[in-house]
Amino acid sequence: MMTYIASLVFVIIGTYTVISKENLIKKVIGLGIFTTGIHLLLIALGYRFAGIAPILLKNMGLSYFSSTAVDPLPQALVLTSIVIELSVTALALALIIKNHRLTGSLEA
Amino acid sequence: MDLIIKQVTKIVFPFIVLYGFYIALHGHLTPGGGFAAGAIIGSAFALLVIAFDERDVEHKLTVHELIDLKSVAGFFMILIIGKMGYSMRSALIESQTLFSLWSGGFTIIMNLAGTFMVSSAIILIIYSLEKEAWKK
Amino acid sequence: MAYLNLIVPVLLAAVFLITITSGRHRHYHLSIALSGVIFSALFLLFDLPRLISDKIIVYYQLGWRPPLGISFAVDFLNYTVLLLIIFVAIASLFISRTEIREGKREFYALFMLLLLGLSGATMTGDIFNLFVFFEILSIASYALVSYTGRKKAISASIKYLIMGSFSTSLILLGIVFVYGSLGTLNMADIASKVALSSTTATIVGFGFLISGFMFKAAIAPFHAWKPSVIRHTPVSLGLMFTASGTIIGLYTIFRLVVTVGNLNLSGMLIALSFLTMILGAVLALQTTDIKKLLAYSAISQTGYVLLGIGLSGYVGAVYHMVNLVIIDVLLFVVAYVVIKHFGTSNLDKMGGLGVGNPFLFVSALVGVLALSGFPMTNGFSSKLLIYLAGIEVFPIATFVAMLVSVLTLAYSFKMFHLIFFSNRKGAGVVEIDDTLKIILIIVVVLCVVLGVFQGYFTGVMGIISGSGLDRELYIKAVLGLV
Repeated sequence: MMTYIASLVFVIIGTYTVISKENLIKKVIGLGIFTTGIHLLLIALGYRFAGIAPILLKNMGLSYFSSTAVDPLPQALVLTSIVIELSVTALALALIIKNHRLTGSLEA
Repeated sequence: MDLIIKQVTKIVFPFIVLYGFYIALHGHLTPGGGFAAGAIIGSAFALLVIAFDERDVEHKLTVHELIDLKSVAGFFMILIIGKMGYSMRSALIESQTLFSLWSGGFTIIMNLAGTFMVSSAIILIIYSLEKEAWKK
Repeated sequence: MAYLNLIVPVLLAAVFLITITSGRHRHYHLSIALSGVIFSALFLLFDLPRLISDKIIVYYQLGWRPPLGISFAVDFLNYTVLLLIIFVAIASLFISRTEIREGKREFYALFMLLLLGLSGATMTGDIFNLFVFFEILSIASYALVSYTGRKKAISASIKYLIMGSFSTSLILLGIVFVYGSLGTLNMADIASKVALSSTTATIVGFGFLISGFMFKAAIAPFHAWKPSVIRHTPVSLGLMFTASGTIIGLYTIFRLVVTVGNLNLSGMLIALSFLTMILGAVLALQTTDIKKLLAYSAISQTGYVLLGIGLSGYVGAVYHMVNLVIIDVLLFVVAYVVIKHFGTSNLDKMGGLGVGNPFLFVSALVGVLALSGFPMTNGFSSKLLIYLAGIEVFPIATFVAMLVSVLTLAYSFKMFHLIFFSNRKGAGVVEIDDTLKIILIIVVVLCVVLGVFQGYFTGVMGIISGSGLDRELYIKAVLGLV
């Protein structure tokens, strides 16, 4: 439950930053916070208290495995999403540098 | 940057890269894998770029060479890994045993390829951003 | 082995090949891009017999069956959308042949990446894969907007990037909700589970997903990025963003609302479509820039398709989606030729092309008539179907749609008048490339044929939209239960 609330807080802070700040670098940071909140929510979905790693060993029962292993899929999704966010952020920073050189300001 | 950061970077840099390769090679056994390893290696270069700005260090590779290198590598990786990964997908899953380095079959090659792609991408991004930022 | 599966690797290989080809061999870039697109078109055509016999082509990536693996599922609806996207890409590459002079390597590499994202997003049967392809196409388009390097283009690109990545994050949030409540990412699996075990979280997730895709289709509350983006990009890209971007957004909304979610959202969709239609048409009336006018017009026409979906007139919606793309190609080619002739995109500085340009005149006339829904053109056939769907369910919708149609006639004839008839006499003869002439002829013929043989094409569109409506076939085929 804590994690869900934390991710909600992240999402709200991110949205506020994107909407209210004029400075483009701060807007990009806001986008980062927003996505981080979503990632946290996604990770919290797959988490299981005192869970085991999702590797099926030979002497392990299938029912025991499915009731205790954590869900590995959200982690894969988050990894993909982080890669995407990395490229978006890199592109945004490149554009901001270019904009700064042309106009001399950090606001669009 | 000041002297302390420069000196520490000189010492720490090879170890970060080494740690990246450790993560890559153990990708099928421990948390991590191609992406994490590539990010670690890329961050080592980011440290280098931040500590020594362009007046101090002359990059051996230009941005355009990096782009070419990365796209050639990417092109062949599509052909080779795509084809081999498809035909070896059963070997990829079944031959995996815990805590043994040479077990995961094809996974280790995939991880190394992933490491190469991700690290070169991150180095490319950081180099070109830095070049743009310092250009007058 | 389906040929369709080869489209994404071929386009990706084209991206890398273009990047490797150095700046000295500049004329190779277009050839590589074109051959990539033509190969994709051939793969599509090779799979047509199989599609007709099987009704749906399902391909499991690396042989993993859903719900575990990622699957590509192509039925008549996807197939049509993919065909239209590739058609738009060919037209837009032919425009770019004379338009793009500098930075060809970057332009064509990013263009192919955009096309890769579009075709992947059309074919995939997995919502997370859909998100990834959407991000690929979005990142390529952010970079393409800034391609000219001008001050305003960079500024438009940054705004587009911030709004766009916010909206794709909303898509991710929607995916989190759907996955959390249903435990699966495969579209067919979601479709089979949504009736039994959907909760509030599922509905919220679908809401986020649809609002994210509405941004891409530029539907009214999320339309603000489009005119400024189109205004500051080359015409070839404007065509790509307008036609393909709209159609991919509408297709995903159709797929999610009808096939996957089976949601009853008609109230919301009709309200948004009113807003989109009226706002787009009114804003198109007051602008004097031809690119902006076409962008607003595309926004307004998107509203019709959305209205069709909202009124359950799926045949009309799909028909109008097809027509929208054809008319867009026609008008953008005309706009490119005209802008090149006058050296500006300001309509007030144009005029007098009515003398000595019969070919251009006739094509533009057909385009304008089709856009405003004149009988015997394709715009009429599809709008008629949407009106008829409205009369049965919700007559006010038909009234509003007809009203907007009048506005459409007004702004499209404003454009036509300012290009061809306004006071300046004899602005000279416009040169048109042979390739562009061929495209214009094809598109004009399509406009007329789709209008004249209305009965036949209504049947064809019925089959296409029917495959989007056939949830049971989709679920069974993708999950391998047949």
